[in-house]
Amino acid sequence: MWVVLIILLLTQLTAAVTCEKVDVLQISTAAEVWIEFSFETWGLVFGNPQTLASGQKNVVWGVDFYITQKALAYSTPVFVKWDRELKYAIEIEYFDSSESWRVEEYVCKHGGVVYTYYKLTHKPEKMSKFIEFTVSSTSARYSARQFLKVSIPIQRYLHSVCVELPDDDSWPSCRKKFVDENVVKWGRGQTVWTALEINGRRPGESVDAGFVRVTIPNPLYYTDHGAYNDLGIYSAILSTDLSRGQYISDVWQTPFLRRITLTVTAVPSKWGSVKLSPPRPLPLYISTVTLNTSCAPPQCFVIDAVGNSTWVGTSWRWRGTLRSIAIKTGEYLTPHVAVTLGGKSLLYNDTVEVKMPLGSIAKLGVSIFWKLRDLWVDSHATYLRVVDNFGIFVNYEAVARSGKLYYKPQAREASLYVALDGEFSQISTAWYSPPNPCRQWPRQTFDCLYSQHVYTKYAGGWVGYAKVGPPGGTQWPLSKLTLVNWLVGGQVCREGGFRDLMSLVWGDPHLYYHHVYRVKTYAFNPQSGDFDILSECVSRPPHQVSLLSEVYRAAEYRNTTLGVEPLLHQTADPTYGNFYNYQWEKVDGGVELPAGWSDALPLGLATLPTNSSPRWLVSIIPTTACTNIMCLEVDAALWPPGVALALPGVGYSFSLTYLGSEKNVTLRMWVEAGYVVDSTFKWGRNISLVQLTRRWRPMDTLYVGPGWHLDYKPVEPCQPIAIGKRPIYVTPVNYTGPLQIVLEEVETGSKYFYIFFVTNQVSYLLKTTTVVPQVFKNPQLDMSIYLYLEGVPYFHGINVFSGGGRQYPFRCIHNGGLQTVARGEFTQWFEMVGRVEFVDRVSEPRYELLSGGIVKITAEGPVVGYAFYLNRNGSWVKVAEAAASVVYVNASRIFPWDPLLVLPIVRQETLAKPGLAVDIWRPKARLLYKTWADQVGYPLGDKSRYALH
Amino acid sequence: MLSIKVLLITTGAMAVAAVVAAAVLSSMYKADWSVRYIAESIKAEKPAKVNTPVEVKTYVIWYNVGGESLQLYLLAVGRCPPPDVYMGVYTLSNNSIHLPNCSFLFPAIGEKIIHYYATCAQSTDFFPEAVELEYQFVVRLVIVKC
Repeated sequence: MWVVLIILLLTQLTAAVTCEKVDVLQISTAAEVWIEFSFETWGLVFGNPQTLASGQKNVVWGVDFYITQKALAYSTPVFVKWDRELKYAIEIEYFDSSESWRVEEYVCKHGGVVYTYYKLTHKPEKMSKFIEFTVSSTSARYSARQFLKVSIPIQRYLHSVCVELPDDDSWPSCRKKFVDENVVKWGRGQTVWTALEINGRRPGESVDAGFVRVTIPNPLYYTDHGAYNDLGIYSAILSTDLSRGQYISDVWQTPFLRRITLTVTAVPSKWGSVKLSPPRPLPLYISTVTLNTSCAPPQCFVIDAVGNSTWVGTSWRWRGTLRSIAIKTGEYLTPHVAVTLGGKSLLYNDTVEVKMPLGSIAKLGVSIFWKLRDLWVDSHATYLRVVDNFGIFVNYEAVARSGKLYYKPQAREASLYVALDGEFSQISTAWYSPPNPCRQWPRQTFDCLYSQHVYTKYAGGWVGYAKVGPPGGTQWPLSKLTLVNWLVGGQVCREGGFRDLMSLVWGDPHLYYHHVYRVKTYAFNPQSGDFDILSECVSRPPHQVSLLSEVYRAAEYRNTTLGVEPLLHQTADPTYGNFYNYQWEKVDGGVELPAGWSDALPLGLATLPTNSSPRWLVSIIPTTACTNIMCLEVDAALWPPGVALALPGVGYSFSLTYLGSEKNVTLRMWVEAGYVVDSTFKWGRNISLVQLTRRWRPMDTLYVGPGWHLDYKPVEPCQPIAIGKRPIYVTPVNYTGPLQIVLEEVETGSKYFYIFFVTNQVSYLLKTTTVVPQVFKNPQLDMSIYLYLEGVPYFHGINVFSGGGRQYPFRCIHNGGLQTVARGEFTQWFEMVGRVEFVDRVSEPRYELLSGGIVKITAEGPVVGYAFYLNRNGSWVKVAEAAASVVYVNASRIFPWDPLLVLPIVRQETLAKPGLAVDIWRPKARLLYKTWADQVGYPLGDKSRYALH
Repeated sequence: MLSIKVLLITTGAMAVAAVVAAAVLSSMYKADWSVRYIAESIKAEKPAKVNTPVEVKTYVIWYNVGGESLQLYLLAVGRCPPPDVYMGVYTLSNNSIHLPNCSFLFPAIGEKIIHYYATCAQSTDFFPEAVELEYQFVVRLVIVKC
């Protein structure tokens, strides 16, 4: 190309266009054009497919998911045999590269404005070229490239190239512009053909993959045209650098500059699909303890019940019951289907569809995930449901019998094997997985309390947290209410057989399973100290079922009920379907697990028992005024909620959780008795805690204290929330017994009552251990003191005082629940809640001389071993340790001028109660050396040598 | 009171014995009193000094105490005959046996068991030092340094 200079001349404005020729140019625009062809094949799926998925990607439970409802799966085969060669052709029209363009340069004026124009006087000849690409009949992939020399149209180099110069009407444009382009005139593709072999398989062949079996379509059509495949996609696309892609045979005069691209994908014609549907959203249930008796599904499920009961004679007599119930909140768990296929994972909150070419066999991993607002909630094994959300019975039996479907629940992700061919090209499946709200992702927001201790009467007296069991054997708390247990399974011995949760909540259809079960449970017998009072009930059909165990190829299934309502396979999977905990027996002998019904676990929160049907849940929150040893000013902190017990004269706050539907509520809350502590002390009946008006949503939680409230913040176990200088509610000092909390909704006047118990039945577990340093100076005994209230590990921020004037800071540990522990070297006495005096007992080594210079070492008290020291460079350095309460030492070489220091290692675990003294064993070191006669003698100056016998 | 028996007699002299010069030996016959003096001082756990060197020899003898065998030392001061003839169980009142030019200090069995050990074969200066420890009984050893 020649560089052309443009000269601008200014002239006067005139009315007409006047043009003046200033130059004649000859321009060559020869260039190379690339024509690229690529061909690939989508094959049938056998084993690990490619998954074509798109959409936003999210991480859930640590796994990457595409948030998409649809996906395609296919393979990329290596070997293929087509029935012919595949030909793709285009015809190109272009300007001959061996000729130049001749233009005349004009300067035109009009109305005082001057522009330069080029008038085309000669153009290169238009040529035609036919280009064809051929894919061999055994190629699954192919690419090729051709080059063509052309002349680029002149208007790409100069602008304003005219065929006719501008006149008055067309100014400032040319009267006729030159717009000719190089074009692809037309294209032609293969459109439809067949495959004679793909992935080593032939049309009409049957492939048995163990669990499922597929027949390859015959003939096996392949296409690049949307009208010939079930997906409607066109896959022979021509595009240039001047135009978007088009289907090859739609091409007509498509311009190009330097590049023409033809991309072809051979797509199987026939496609099938697998649909995976989630269940309906489930309401979130929260369990709490109540005295109230009315509770009916689906609003409420009874989880467990214990008595205010007394042992009379040979059995328990119930007088009034305390129950744990799971109440439906206004919150819902939304189900999502998670599908993994070919290394990719899909997640969607509605039916997911995966399309595969007919003749494919694939294994999909299926899970159901549950979401609670912005939290993901855990779930158990994933099962096929026998009916879908629209109440349609899904007939897996026919599909499975033909070998088109096989399913196995396997922990969280179930395995689904499908084979799509002409027999069943569309397979629909419905799924369920029991949710477990006690575990959440990405942050653990709610910690479940799995069981709550309650009071009961035993032998005429109140037994709070008594432990019973065979003497010297395992001790169980006498009264414990389970808070987290399966909703439906908990009511096994009621009339009417087992019930299905989705049916109870949504009226979902279910099948019936006809089987008679015997359920055995064992109650505690105080006379034997064992759980040996047998209680039996028989659970008669019909039982509602909706979940399947295996679905397989057999013609008949075990225990299929005959008649109008067949059941696809009998019981829930013995390993993963076992989400109930009773002892099952068939009435005529043997053990057989019940069939699968949909079920769920409730969220068990540590709450105060109430005697009303709960609309609010209240928990008690240990509150400390400060967490340092020295408190100069109040720096309050809220600790995680605990059991419904309180110490006298100690700080507590409360948390409120609303379970009703969204509403503006003015709430008043007060406690029966106690103090409010800030700078002034206040005491009285009916301590008013808080009055506030607010819009409450279901599950909204607040912390409340005297005159203040705070939004809920989830915390790790043992992590406090600092709340600064606020007044704190303190329990009455000289009172033990129940205290009532009243909640009043001002708008409706409704009152709700809650109870917690103030008790001073404190006990401690003392654990001591002797410090065994490398260099010994003085015997040191480390002690840890664990706090128990009513025999249960208890936490509050209480420091420990000890004899010798020291104060030790409390620590919080996670021991099932939270517990206070203090560690240090406590002497004479200690006081946490109530003082315990120590009686010091000394454990000092005793020696017994045996034949041969062997000394037997023993010590009184709980000795677990001994540490031995020799004096080296002025310090007692440890030379050995022995882990036995009786040790034999060969002292033949332990001379009196270099004695051995023996330190007993004492370890003790003792229960202590305030007001009582407890024996504490403390170690005392003693020297050992020989004073008897032997052949070694007494070589003065020799160093002693320690030798264990 | 401990039940103690003399189990068997082993006249094994301690390896600390060195060769005694003949010249020294001859002078000992005249210094009869120094042997007894040294023996009495050792028993009293007091240092003793004499003009001419005196021989000392430590023997190991076996006792049986409550079923367990116990070895104790027997100290022979001066030129002594084999002690076999004198073996027995002695108390603190009678555990020193004096012969011409020889004194035996036998282990004394009583509230404590006391016995005597010499760290040299002969000397003119003797420094007894006692150490004791309680096992199932107390054993007090008087180590005589030279």
